[in-house]
Amino acid sequence: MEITIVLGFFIIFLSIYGLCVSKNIIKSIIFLNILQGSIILLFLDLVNFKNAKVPILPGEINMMVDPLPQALMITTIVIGASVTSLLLMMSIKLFHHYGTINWKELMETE
Amino acid sequence: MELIPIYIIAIPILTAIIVYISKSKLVNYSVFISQTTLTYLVINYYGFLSVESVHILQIGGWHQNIGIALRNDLLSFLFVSLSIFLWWVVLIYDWRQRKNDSVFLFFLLFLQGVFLGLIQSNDIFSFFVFIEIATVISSILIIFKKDGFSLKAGLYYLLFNSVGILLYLIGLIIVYKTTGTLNMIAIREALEIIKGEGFIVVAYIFFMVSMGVKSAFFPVYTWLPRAHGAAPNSISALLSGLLVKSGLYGFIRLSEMFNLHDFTVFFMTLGFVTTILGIIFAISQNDIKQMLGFSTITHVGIILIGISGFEETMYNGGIIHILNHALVKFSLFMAAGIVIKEYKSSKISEIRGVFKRLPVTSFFFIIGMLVIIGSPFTTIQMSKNMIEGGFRGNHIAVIMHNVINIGSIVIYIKMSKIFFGYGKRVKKKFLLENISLALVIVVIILTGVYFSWQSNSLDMKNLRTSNIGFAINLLKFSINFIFAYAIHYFFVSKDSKIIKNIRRFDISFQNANILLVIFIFLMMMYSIILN
Repeated sequence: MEITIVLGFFIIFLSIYGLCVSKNIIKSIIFLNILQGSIILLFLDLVNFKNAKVPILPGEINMMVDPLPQALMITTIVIGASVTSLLLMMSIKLFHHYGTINWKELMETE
Repeated sequence: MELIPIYIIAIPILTAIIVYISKSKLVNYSVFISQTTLTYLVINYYGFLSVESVHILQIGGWHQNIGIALRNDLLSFLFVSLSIFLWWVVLIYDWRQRKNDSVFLFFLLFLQGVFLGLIQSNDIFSFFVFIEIATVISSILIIFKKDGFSLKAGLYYLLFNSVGILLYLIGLIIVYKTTGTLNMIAIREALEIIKGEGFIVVAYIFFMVSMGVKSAFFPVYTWLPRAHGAAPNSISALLSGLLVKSGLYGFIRLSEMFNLHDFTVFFMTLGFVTTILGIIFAISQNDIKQMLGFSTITHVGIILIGISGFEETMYNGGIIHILNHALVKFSLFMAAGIVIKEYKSSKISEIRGVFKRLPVTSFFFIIGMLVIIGSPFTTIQMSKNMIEGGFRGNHIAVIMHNVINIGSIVIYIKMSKIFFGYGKRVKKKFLLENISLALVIVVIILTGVYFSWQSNSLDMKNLRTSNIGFAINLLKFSINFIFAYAIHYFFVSKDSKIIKNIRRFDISFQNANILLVIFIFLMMMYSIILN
């Protein structure tokens, strides 16, 4: 077990804990992004190995890293950016409506 | 003919972009051209598919293990034709109000393209992409009114569903690391050998939990009633009719892929709990759309019992129930939308005399209600009987089934209060809405006739054995109805303190996340105990 894999899982649990306790909408959005980032880190690290080469440079095929996960994770990052921007837009509108972005205060308002 | 799966994804999206860019009233009519083309293509495609039965399209001609693929079989064809039909209905229903609103039409048509892609995708990553885009677009449609309540609901929906769908990604990582491919068929073949391994079960758990979030299973249902209550009327119909089913569709496809039968009992219990909880909450509500939303949770539970079933009849019953519930709940939400628009309120206590004020709409509304409570000779009753038939005399299950029936009757008895009382007739106000409503009702009746004809001619064995004479069904139904009426009269209509407390019961976002963690934990514990 490599240290980065352990770290990846640790950050996943940390961000889920953060989602369970954060009282502020912005913090929830940040923890969502951390969760996503840690999953991306984990995936890219799992396919990596020692002395691996970048797949676009010429060289031996067996020494190259698998390019598919990178393509997938770029897509995930793009989706995550769109989700985050939409969430932030919604929280701005909510602040204009209610004057607060605290979960508890928001849920008490009608 | 080969490329029809791509066309039916691309045509709505391209039309949406044209509508959005041009922003002209005339160009907005091109949505109907797109719909007509789609209908024509799908009818042609059926002839092609019925010969081959499974059609796999490798995009770009890459090898199966690395390329993107689209797959169509009869199940996905059912979903494709259902969604194209329901989009027709939504467009006709909303046309009077939205014909100049090119932004709304853009998102609606884009959502259709994405949904059609989601159904046909054959690799788990493009499934993830499509389901995430569908979540984003549907949350934009939920907040379309831009008032505070819908913004809260939309934020909750998008945030919670994004967390759920990220768990899907963890499962995907494990599967990709072990099998080296993303193609569902290739994964299924690769997993045959190492099915029972611990980490495969972990991947399965993450996949199933994320699908559970998408389709509102018991501990993670909290986003659904909010979103359904806040969305515009036609969008609540779409959410309940189709988008909740996207999670169930993923559930079916992923269970096929993993081919694990360890969790059957777990999911069946979960289905029962979901159903009972949906009934309890639906009875306590005072808002039509919230009641319909919780009723959707009830039916999700019933479908879950069916599709996780160990027997062919139950499975078929579950799939037929998806179709039936989509159509019926669509008609109910649309009829409720007309009522809400007319009365400018969605509280049951404030609406009276619908039957006199909107006779045509209430006629369709009552037909929809009669179908959804599972009265005899209707589609819902048949699929429920098929699911019950799979238990084969397991007494606890049969008793639970009757409890579910009684509960869903109570919900709609409570809702039927809005029809009585005095009202003045409104003339010719909701013509297009009523036409689209009539369209759905006609299709419900046609499917009912088709299924009852099938049950006599083909061998849908359990459908017939559980239909030992229609008289027994009628008797069962009337006993259930009397029970339900008694429960409603003595407990629900008084609006006692307990019911008020249940109505106020609310789960915050943090607690919803804790419930999500508990859901994962429960599945892990179950798999550990099993081995």
